[in-house]
Amino acid sequence: MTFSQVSKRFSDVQALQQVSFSIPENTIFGLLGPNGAGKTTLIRIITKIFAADQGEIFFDGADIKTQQYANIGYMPEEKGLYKKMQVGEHLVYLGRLKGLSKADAKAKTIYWLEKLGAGDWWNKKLEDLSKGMQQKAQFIATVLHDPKLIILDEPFSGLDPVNAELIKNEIYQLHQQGTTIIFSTHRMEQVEEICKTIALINKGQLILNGAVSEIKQQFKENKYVISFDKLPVLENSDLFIVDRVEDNTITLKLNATTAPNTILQYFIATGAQITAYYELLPSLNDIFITLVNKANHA
Amino acid sequence: MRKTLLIIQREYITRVRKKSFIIFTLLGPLFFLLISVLPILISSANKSEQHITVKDDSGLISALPDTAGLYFNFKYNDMPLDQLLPLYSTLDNGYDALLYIPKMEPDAPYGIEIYSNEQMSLTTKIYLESIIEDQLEAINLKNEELDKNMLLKLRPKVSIDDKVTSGENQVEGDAAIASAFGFGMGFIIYIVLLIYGTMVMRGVMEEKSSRIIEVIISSVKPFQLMMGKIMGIGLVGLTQFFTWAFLITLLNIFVGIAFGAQLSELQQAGSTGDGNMQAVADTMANLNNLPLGYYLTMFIFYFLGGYFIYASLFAAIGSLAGDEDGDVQMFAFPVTMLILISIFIMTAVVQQPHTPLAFWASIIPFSSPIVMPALIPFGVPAWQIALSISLLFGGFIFTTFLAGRIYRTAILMYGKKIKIKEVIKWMLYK
Repeated sequence: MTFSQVSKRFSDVQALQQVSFSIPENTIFGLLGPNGAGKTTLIRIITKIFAADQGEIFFDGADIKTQQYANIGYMPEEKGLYKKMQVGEHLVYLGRLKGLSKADAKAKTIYWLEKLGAGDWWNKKLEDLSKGMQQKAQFIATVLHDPKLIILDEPFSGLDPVNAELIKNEIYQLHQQGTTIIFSTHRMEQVEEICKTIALINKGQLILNGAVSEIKQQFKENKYVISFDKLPVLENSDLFIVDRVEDNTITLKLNATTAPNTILQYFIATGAQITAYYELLPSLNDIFITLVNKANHA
Repeated sequence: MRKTLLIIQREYITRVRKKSFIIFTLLGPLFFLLISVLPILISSANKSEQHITVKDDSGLISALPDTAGLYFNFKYNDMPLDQLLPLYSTLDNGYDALLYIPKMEPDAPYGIEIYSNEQMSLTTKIYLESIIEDQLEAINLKNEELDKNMLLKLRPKVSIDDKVTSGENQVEGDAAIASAFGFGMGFIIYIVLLIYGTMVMRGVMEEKSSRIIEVIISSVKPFQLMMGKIMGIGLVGLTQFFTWAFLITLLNIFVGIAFGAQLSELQQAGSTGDGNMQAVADTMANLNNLPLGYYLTMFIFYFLGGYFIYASLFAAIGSLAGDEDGDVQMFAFPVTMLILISIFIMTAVVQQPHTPLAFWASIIPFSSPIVMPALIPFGVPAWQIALSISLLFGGFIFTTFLAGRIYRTAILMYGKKIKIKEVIKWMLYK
């Protein structure tokens, strides 16, 4: 999926400004950005809710404008269903709106309800379900018609850890079956856990795009963590700067010319017993905050 | 198209199977019957017995007929008035009133008085006057050696039959029936526009506030959803209307069987020449002569046209709803005003059906759905109906087009208060 020079303007706000990036096929892609960055606008263009002013989006070799609604499954951030309807008929209705036949929609609804441990929900009214249960139903509505592209906006908000795990496993399974998944959230630990590639948008502009592992390498600050059974006496050294000390663990920022092994040798020489030593990669959360702050101050 | 049908189906089924809909549809006609009968029941239940003692010094009135609520007594006729006056309310079980008829000539009945502790009701007073008049009339006729039938012959009852000659064919007209019928049709459409227009508005608001809208419009175009909703609810309205029409026909047949004897008596009375009865019988005959099929066709036409125009406006208003209810009221007010103005015009034109106001209101699409059905029983030329219907159709296309533009933008706007200036902008630009 490729985005080239996508722009969208609402009367007084430039929601997206020449955004270009691509999403590898069959990946779990994280679309990140602070509130009001333009994520939802971008998602609404992908889901054909409205069109871009400029630029093109290609998915599966065709312009998004000519794509069938059936190819896309969308779970918006603000979740909602017809509260007065029963779960079964509601899901069948949404499936048929996506182009499934009545029998197909019915069979798939039964399959998914069973799969998510909700086999006896068919005749229950949605308003009688808890928020988490409604969200499960919403997830089924998103994947019911076997879309090639699934867009999930904050899919875990409101779910308890057990159900969040359940949905997460379903997402992995769909991914293995070859579905492209766009995942939008503010929760960086979820992104680190689930996504392989990300894009970061701020104020309508793309500020970061790439594989999570590469991004982490790119933003690493040459920091290492070393733990001891008993903290050695720390003397000033031109090899490193002490970043922080906590219990028996020290975080060091290595000087540019210092090799990691030199540090090990240095501390072995102090006679202290080393229990752990590893490179500290920045969390996506840190990268996110740094970049957004930098962009906002620029 | 398949998707629009699916939406229509959902909107229709989820409403028609609601208990409140089923109950209101089945009991509606009975409810209306009750409403029309209730005032009579209440007023008859309100009537109490009144006992009146009569003191007649003229010797002209020897007896007065008792009726359901009034009982007359001449027991104390011989007691002088000044003795009777302080006593009448305590004599026997206590009389409610004392009717005093002084010495008088039957052709100059002056000085009749009624004494009571509580103010006499106007209807009782008028009734008393009329029965005394009847008795005096009988005496006077006798004195002048006249016959009552002779008197009636001298003043025959006149009733004018109206024949309307506009258009190609002459229509048998009856102004009273025309205005009643027209008013009824206009009024039903007025109710329909308000009830079902509001239903469309609420439906749109529900979709917006429950946030399901985003899921739906990632499957269908906003315009399809809007039209599907409008059509689905329109079908609900038609279902209700036809069920009512059917039930009322059944009710009529039932009433016909139960009270058939009285009706034929009424018709016989008409043929024997009693003036009032003749008028009633004529009215009934005229009702049967009305081109009901034609009226019904026109009614459904304007029902649908008016519904589509107003429902699309209400859909647009529903899409403008914010999280506070006040915003909707503000936007809905002008549309509701249009409907109210139409009903005011309609009430005026059924009394004066051939004025410029009637003409313009019957062709302008915002008022024609209410005004034209009310005018049709008075005879409207074919060209005027054709003009009105084409404008109605044009108005429907125009309002749905504008409403669609507002709807597709506004339905996704949350949080921020929408200004009228913005709405106008959405209507004008792509």
